[in-house]
Amino acid sequence: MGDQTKKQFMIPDGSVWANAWKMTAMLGGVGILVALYGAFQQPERFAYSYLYGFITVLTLWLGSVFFVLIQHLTGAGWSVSVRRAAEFFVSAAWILPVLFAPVALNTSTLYHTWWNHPATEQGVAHAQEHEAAAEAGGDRAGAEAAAPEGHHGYEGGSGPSEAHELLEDANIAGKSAYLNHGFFYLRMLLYFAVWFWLGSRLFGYSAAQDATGDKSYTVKLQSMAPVATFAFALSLTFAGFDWVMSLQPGWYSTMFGVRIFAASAVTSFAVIILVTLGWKRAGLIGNEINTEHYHDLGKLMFGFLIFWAYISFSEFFLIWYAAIPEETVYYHLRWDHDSWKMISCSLVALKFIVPFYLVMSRNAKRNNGLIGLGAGWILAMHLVEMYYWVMPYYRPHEAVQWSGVWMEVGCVMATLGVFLTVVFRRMLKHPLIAVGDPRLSRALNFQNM
Amino acid sequence: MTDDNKQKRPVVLLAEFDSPDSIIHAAEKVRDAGFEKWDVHTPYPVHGMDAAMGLTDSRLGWIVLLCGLTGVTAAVTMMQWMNGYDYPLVIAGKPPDAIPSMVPIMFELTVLLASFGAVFGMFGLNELPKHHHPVFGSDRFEAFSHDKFFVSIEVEDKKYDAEKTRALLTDAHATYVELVEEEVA
Repeated sequence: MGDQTKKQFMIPDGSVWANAWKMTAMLGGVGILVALYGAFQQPERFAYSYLYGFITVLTLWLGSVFFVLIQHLTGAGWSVSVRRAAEFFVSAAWILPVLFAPVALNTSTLYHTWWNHPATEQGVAHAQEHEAAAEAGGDRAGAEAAAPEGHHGYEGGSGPSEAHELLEDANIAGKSAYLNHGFFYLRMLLYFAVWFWLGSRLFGYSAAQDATGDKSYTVKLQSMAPVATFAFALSLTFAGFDWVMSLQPGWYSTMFGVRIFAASAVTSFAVIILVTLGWKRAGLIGNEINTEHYHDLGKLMFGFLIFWAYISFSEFFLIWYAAIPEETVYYHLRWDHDSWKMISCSLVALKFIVPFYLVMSRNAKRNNGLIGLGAGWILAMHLVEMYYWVMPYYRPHEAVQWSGVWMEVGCVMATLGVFLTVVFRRMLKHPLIAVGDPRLSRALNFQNM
Repeated sequence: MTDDNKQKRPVVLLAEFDSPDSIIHAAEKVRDAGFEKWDVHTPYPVHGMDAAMGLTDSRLGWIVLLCGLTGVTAAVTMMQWMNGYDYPLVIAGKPPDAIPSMVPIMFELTVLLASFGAVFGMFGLNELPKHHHPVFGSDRFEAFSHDKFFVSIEVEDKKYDAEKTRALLTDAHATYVELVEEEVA
């Protein structure tokens, strides 16, 4: 590819996309002000609101990494022209630790169940004693957990509820080898190191190839892909355990890591579709990304949407059937009050059923307007799902605190605004498609059969 | 069992082409001439053939959707009637007609009937199984699975005209045109 072609895919000065970062920066700026105000007004709520914003950005980033990795892993030719869209997001890895800082400063609020009460051996013995006493009294901790819990403190009267709380304490004590301050920070450093490596290599090699068209970069990317996939999968899963699942350290689920992955993957397909449609609308990309690519991106988004629904349901299903208190508590937090029940149901209806029918048809996937609508819809519901993941822990066993939702809006504006600003500024410096990739012509001539 | 005394009648006009480009071009011409009962035979899927042949959307998707919806409706009705009404059993302390316990059946019947719809619907739309077709009467036709490309136009087609149709295919750079005949039973 000559300089002429390369220039063709650069964002020109007058384009909407040349100024997109200013809009997101403004969004982020307003968000930061709102978040700061919130942090002083209600510091506790701020901690959760901010974590909500951070996880939203993180899942978006992780999904983009997954997309790029899977293309190199399979040596895909069809996706070369859309891969750069995901690579721009991947390249923003360095901002993640910066965005994480407020979370790191609020660990004692967010993870108070284990952060401030390092469980001791005495605690375990104490809990077991209480449990035995409760069972002797004819009550079972399980019966208590099945009903909405009236209070959530250690000061409550004696009885099954207290025993249950203490049992949870015992659970946490058993996890102290993993859930402790030092190891938490060590793992955090490890995740960011892995992600920085992924971000700099996956984007860096591809960007370096733009100028030279050197095939060796493709080879390098393909040979790092298998190891990178393992590193990605492990860091995603354990970061999910550390930052989301440990909000409720007594809760058991074997599906949570997969759920984070599924939600991230769906989101990234939606984002790639929306970003490339935006480029096309601004006239930056012509036929290089065409109906055939949207058809395939749509198929992947549709497939992963079903995957997300499948694993989310199977997680719920097994927990519902077994009805073990330390598992069901997760869904009690999201069901016992009508407002949370409504959010839970909206995920089933609006994140699965509606987009399922919306993007099911081949014609919908081959229609830029419809696939864009489907992607936008899924992205909007992703924001709701992240809320459902994080916010029940702000006031557990209580209704949604609607009056303070502005803080979550502010936080998600702040994190998303900053993240997108970094991504959009990166877009100004590189061609919008991987012009140096030797397989580009395969992507340009690609057709679905 | 070829016997010159037996009566034969023309069934298919078969035209052979050398390249994917020429077959696409030929398909466009046949499409534009308004033929309905015709087909293209190629050794591999040729890009752009759907448009060149003027094929509209397959009805298969609607068949699959209908079968899938039938599956999910059947599952809900069946489970609600059996577990909720006809023979309610309390399992694991759950209400007998609890919806979550029915989801796996809903999923499975949806997938099962949708797959049946896809496979058998495809058979139906393609008029399969078809044990014989007159085009196999041509000795040259075997090359369709090797390196040649064919257009076949059925004589039954309303637009068919022995002279004009042959001319159309020859004009489209057919390397060989043959009127395939079939014995009259």
